[in-house]
Amino acid sequence: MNVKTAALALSVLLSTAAPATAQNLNLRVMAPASPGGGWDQTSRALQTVMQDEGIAKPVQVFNVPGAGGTIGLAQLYNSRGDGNLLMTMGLVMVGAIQTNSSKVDLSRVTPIARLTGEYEVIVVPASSPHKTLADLAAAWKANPALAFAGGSAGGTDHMLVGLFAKAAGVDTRKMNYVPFSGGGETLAAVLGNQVAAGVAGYGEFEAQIKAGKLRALGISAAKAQTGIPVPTMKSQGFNVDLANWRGIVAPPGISGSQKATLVSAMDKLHASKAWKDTLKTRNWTDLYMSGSRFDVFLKLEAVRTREILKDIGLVK
Amino acid sequence: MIEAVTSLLAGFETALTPLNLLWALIGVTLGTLVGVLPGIGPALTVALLLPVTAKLPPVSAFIMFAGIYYGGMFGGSTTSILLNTPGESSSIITALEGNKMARKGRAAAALATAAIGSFVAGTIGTILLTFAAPAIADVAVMIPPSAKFALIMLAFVTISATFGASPLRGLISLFLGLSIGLIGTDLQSGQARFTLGRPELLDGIEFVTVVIGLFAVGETLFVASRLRKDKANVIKLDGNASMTREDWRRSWKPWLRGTALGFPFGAIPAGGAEIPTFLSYTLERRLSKHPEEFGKGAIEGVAGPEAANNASAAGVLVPLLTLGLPTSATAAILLAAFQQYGLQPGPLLFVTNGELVWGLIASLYIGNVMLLALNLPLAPVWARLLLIPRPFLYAGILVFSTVGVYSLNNSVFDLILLAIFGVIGYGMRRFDFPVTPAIIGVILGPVAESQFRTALQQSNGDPTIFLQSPLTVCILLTALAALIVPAILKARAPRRV
Amino acid sequence: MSDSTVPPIPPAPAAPSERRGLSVPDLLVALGVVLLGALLLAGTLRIPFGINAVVGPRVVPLIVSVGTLLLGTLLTVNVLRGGRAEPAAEEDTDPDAQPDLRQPGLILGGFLLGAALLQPLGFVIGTALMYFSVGFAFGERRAPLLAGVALAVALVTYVVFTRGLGLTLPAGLLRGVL
Repeated sequence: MNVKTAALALSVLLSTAAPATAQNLNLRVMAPASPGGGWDQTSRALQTVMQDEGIAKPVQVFNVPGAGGTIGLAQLYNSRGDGNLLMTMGLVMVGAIQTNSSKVDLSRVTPIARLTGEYEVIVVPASSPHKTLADLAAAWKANPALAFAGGSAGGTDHMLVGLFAKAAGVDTRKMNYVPFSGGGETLAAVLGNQVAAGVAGYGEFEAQIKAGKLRALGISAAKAQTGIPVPTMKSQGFNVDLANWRGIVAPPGISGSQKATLVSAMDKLHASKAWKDTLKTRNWTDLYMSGSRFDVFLKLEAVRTREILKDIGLVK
Repeated sequence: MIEAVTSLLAGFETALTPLNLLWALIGVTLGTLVGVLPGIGPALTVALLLPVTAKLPPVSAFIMFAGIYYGGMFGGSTTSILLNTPGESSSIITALEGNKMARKGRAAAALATAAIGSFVAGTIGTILLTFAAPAIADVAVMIPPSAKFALIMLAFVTISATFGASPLRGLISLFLGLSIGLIGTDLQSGQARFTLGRPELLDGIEFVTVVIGLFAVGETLFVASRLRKDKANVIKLDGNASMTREDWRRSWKPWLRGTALGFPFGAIPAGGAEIPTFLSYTLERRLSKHPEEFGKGAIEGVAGPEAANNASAAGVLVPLLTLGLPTSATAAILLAAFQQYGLQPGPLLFVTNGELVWGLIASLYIGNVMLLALNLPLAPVWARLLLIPRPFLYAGILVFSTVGVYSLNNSVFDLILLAIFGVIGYGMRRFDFPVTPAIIGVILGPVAESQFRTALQQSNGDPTIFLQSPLTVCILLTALAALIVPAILKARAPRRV
Repeated sequence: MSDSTVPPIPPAPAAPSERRGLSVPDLLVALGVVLLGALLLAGTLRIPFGINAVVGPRVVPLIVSVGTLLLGTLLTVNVLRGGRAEPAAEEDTDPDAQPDLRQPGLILGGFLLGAALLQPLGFVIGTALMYFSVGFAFGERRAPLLAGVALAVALVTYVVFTRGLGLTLPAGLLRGVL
């Protein structure tokens, strides 16, 4: 009987319906990862805003986890011509396609828009002798075995370390990258003084940076970010610009007008105040870009990713 | 200390409003419900609820999440004991003795010792969290990978020696588990291993599929092959609905020892609830005055691991709240929940959002009391579930397992894997291989490998890293002793069984 | 790890298995373990090296596969000397019963058929089929009753999961009805 009450309470919770001002666009959004991860959160935030603002209704989110999103990508590819289906994706998927030698790549689907992202930071423990990125780079050149902690091999953190190595003149094949399964463990390794430096999205280190337990040496943005008191890598002479971005793609084979409808829905989403508020509370950086600009960006990013992964030794 | 007490009292003021009490109640009920289902745990539930709760005030949402978190632990032990389908890696050990007790008609006592043990451990854990969180967290991050590796070696040694008719069969089972654990993309190098070219295997095999296959499906197939036809069609319940005086006497020490093991492991990054539950089981087995009952339904084997499991759940909150450091899957989701409200757990959270944190901590005490009040009277009711005639009971267990495994990835491929592991589980029972070491290999094997490689990567290949920390050396020596001492004792006193 | 010298703790009942000659099924299992080790070893040698790392992705698989080979060999020797396994004693089983492989076969067949039909015909039909096959294999012969219970259990599970937790389970034939 307590089962029944719980189910009841939950269904009440779940039926918090949105105002019914929606147009006749109904969407299904695939999050190619488990619930709770970055793609899932992006999909569900998009769902909430789109329904509340009446951009589309209903919007249904479903999860197809696995293999860095490439299982979801293959499923999207098989839904050829479906103009009501979207999939959340991002830089990690661009990398996973290469490392998993996925049969379907992003040139086979329809790009819609880039939405948000997060910049990466390089941190050292507060007690570290390295005060600037130049100090760290000099020490690294002298000793290429300096340990860098970050997320799993081939992910955004690993790519950033590779790009930094190239900019600092360190041999990418000799660098000592220590992969951890999550941001938490990276944080612990840096706090515990077990590695020379750590790399993750700014959000994962923010609290410790503000508390003075970690020193942030550089952020991977092209320009200084408001509210983030960390100098960019570029301003310190290291030409690195990398964002862990997230975007939206649609199945292949949809008509020009279907694509235009989806792009305009994203434009409306981005223009809404509710989306701006969401970005603010969640600390997501607005990296909006839609239509043909995103098409071009996606192609360039695929080329660049392949190059970095080759340098690191992950792809032949 | 005084400061913590006043803050905690203020926290109770926040948590004890009727509305927040209602959210706590919804949370614990929901948590128990999802804990009961294999494969669907607190992590998934909180993740699915995140967008829905975005409109609630953060304090209420977190009070509910805390209820789900602790409730999931309680619910997980219920199905492990009654149906032998552990849905969480932390309740596998509970199934070993708990299900044996249930089959002897002692289900209510097993459920009661699990519930009270969870309550005791959860409360002690929460007290430690209240008063010592920052200090514990600072120590926890200093534990090097080499020490974690040593701990897992200790678990491997004790476990393969403990289970099974002979160590050879225990080790074969362990190695089977280790092999299964190797399948998937290697996190450290990004290379696919043993995936046979199938993308579904790139993320490895979910441990739930392995556990449910080997335990529940394997047992169903085995029992079906040699059905007992003469006896009554249902399990007889013991007249004693709950714990006897003897049960209490045998349970209280394991509860406390389990708590002492579980809490620190929860606080260590990548520590988890598995190692302490395994260690608690082997410890109780050695200390017990009734070692012959182990494997046939010894109450200590339920009490200790259950306490360890819940204490580690409290321990997990220490680094999460004080450092913003998630050490388990559920903690990672809770972190995402904080971020949804624009909150960043860490050293500053207690300062900037004191009301929220202390309200959350207070609600942990309240949630524990609610769970005990909810579960203790229900123990005999749940136990009556076993009065369902066997054909319907076993069929229900199988359907139940299917739902859990299927909903992990919404993939039929996982169900085929489930069937394969079911057949392997059948074979292991038929040829007398213990199932538990295989499961431990699946769960701890990948952790052991990554800690081993991380340690060497950080030292840049210097193997003396395993001898530099006194803690690591101590644990490795204990593991070695666990391997050698019994052999020496046997050699010196050959016929003193 | 020096393995087979360690005695179980607490000491196992020292009942030396009666020498009843070679058991063929046991031998096949032991050879199966050896084969598994060999396959693992072959698979290990096909893992690429990947990034610069002190301990590459092959090291632990190598340890595991060689270990499995070794343990399999030990088991084979043990079986050749007349060792054999005693089937586990579960509470619900009859240790003296002649094992009947038709029942587990029925369960497995029902399960796989149900899994195959899960997506085309829907969750309710698929799981009801699984339920029915287990119930039947466990000796329940009142088919209409069993079918009714099977459908009811599957339906309730479906509703609770999809409505209660918002999970997406395949609706199949029930699309639009529920």
